[in-house]
Amino acid sequence: MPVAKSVGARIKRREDPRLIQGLATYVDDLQLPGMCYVAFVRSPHAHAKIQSIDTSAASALDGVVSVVTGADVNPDVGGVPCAATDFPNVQVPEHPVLAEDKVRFVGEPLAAVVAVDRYVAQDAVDLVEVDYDPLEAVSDAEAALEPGSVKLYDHFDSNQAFTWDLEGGDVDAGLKEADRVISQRFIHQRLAPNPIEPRGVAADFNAGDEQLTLWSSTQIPHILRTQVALMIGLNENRVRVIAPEVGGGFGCKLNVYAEEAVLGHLAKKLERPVKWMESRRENFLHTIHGRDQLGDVEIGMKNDGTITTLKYNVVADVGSYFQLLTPAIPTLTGLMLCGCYQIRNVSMHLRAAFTNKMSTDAYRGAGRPEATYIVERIVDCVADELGLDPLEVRRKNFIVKDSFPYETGTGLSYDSGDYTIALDKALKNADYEGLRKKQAELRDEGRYLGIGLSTYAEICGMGPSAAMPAGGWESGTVRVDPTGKVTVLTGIKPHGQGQETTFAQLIADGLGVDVDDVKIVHGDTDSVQYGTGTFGSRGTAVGGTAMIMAMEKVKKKVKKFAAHMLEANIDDIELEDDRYVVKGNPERGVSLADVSGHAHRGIDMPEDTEPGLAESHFFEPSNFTYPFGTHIAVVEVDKDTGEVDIQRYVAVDDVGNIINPMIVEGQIHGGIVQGLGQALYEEVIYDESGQVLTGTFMDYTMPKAHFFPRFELDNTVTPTPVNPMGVKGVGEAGTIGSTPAIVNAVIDALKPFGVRHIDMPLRPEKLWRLMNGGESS
Amino acid sequence: MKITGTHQISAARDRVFTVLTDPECLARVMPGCKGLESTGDGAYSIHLAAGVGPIKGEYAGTVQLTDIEAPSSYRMLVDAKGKTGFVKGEGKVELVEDGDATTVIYEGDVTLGGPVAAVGQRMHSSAAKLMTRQLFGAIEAEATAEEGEDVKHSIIRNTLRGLRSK
Repeated sequence: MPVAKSVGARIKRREDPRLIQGLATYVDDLQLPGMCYVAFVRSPHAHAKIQSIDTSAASALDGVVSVVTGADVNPDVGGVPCAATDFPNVQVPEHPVLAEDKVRFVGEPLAAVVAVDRYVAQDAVDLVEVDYDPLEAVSDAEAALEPGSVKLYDHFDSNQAFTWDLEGGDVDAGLKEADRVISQRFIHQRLAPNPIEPRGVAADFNAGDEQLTLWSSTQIPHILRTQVALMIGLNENRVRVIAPEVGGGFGCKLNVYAEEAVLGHLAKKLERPVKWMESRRENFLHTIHGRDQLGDVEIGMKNDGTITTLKYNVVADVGSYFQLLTPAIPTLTGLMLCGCYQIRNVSMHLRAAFTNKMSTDAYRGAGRPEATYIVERIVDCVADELGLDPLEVRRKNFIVKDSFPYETGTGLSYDSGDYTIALDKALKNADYEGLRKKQAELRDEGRYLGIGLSTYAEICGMGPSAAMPAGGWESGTVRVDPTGKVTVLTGIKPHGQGQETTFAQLIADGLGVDVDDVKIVHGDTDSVQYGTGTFGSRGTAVGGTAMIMAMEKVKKKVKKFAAHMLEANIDDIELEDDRYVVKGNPERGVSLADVSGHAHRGIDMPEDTEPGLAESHFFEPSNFTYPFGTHIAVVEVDKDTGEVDIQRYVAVDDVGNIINPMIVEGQIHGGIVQGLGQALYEEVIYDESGQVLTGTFMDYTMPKAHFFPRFELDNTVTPTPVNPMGVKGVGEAGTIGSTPAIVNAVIDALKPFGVRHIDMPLRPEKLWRLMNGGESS
Repeated sequence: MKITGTHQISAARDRVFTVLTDPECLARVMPGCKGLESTGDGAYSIHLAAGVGPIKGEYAGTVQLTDIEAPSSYRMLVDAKGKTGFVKGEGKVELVEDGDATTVIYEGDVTLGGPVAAVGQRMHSSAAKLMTRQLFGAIEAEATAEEGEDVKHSIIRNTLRGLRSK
């Protein structure tokens, strides 16, 4: 049967039938004989000395197997690791898995209960008596950096975690040559990633094999294996990490958490399988948060709209400890500060502050949404200052098509791009001129329509190992069974990105098999060669490339066999649909199954050829990739209620070549919604004593489907030269592009009220006050 | 959370002060109070049930009355904890004669911590107001009762009393 070309086709996700039918296996679906359940005792205080912990009542409860504290566990379990500590003036805190002397944020674990079921474990948690001596807490990052602030770490000089400076060009000269200079403060509020499946860990130790199996809802099974093995003192080859079905991550599962090591340790110590599923309340407290920067920007401009300088002075709130990549995240903001503009003079001065809050780390976009928000808001501020259309300021400053690869002022090399075509297409799709007319008409009627643009460029396909804290390469193995079915082992860990479909499409076309004959294996460190994982929009651009390279090696061998079997010259063998045929003589051909059967039989082999048919490749990318696009939001703000009605959302994204348009659209849909969540609704709020005030879905507003219109998506295609497929990555594009589009639209709507900037989230109350003569709260 | 307000009670100041500082009376009038015992020197151990939205819990701790100047003022310190978090508070209560009635002026600062702080934060001050109304309703009923009369308390009864008495 001829195989239709599948790359580029809208093939439905092969993952979905099992997800929709409830046939997927998540951590919480695991049941092992004799399994115990773990619950953690967590601090209700943001900052307190632990005077004593009395576990006797908890231990005495019927059904409790063990109760352990930091004093019991910490001697045997190393601290929570951070892979990015190479920073100026860095102060790296010890980060024990269970707090022992002091707690530093609400939700910090300090003891663990193991019991025969989840309910007994939770009851026992309530019986653990902890005597706290509460200390003054600091939850404001700027206040934490003030001299005289209460300190999180007595032995540190201050709460300054580290500093980081970046300068390209000459910022002071840029300010001097500017016709005008404006400044603006931007706040990137703290967000909770909130995957639909919270974190969960199960562990089972087989004493006979000295083998620990750890199931975790993680994006990085291999890195987790290495780190947990080091933390609990097992040889790495004695630890097998399985990431089963993972219900979303958005970066918060790109980490190594205390619970993962504690569960591994408990399973080994008790020789019983143990499981812990995070509750949503725990998730709000002790899964990493995203964003949380506040900074001041100075912008120098010429009267014609040319931006001469961008100076960003920022405080990043890193919370109380470093998680895996905490310090690295705000540096990505610096690198991407210029967006898609030729801003030659640029600088960022970063101070990171410890506060009595959960750590911040990678959340969808990880540092780049902050950069895009700043630069896209700035362009609008410049337009506002000069009385120009924001569109013209963008065109004036765009990096032009002919200048790629383009060296930015921040030291990056943008691979490829054509920002004007995406912008023009979006303007056409939205009918920008028509919208501006409509806006003027509605204003006369006392209605407030706003049109917001975001012309983003982002950094994806992470990344060259030299520029990554923990390796940036990826691995792939392609195996052909004797019957001609193909198994791919990939080092990435898809958890919603659809690579079980897109990778199969690539293999189907590449080797001449049906999509359904390809199986993609991931997330089991005993099956799959070492890999890096899924994050930073890298799965296809880096992991897919590793697989393609391995596949090319297989294909070379297949051709060698085919030539041998067909008694032809290898250079004359070509793949035609599902058969390897002799050029010019297509009836002489063999299928992949024919070749693989032959290769596995092991007799009558081509010269100097091993039997079998499997190859691996480890791909090191030479650069990042830089997707881009234009998003246009059209909103109406109701003067009587302050509510924002998103009337239209037009997006034109360029993510390079597209393997499956349906999956790309799905990623962009989800991304846009998450970005709008930051713009309009979401915010993790800590009060001044460090208490979390937004610890449930009643208190933390998540975007819902009915908040949005149908998204009008389109695309342009500018392939990247960085990988042979020309794909750039799409996981974070929507999130990065959408936040400023919405904020720009709302501020545009409120222009008649003299509004130049509003901080996110743009809640109705804030807008109502601005529209009704009050101050923004 | 700051809690401030004034409330007029149609009873003599001495009676109101007694109700406010007598453990037996207080145990009857405090919303959700399940036990209040004097431990001497103006200190009491307290056990009460309270709930905001879905977080209902029981709290145990201490109440300390200081700077008592009968019948016109005292300060109060509350420190209680339970499975759903902790409550710490400090406040001042003043009683001013107003003809046959008494005006109670109170101001305090209450800190909530742990799970109870993380939920329904928008409702905390209205929940506090509701409980205050119940409290004053109950105090008025006690303070205006005949000697030996058995005053009936319930959430609705006391809330209505609180609304009526202002």
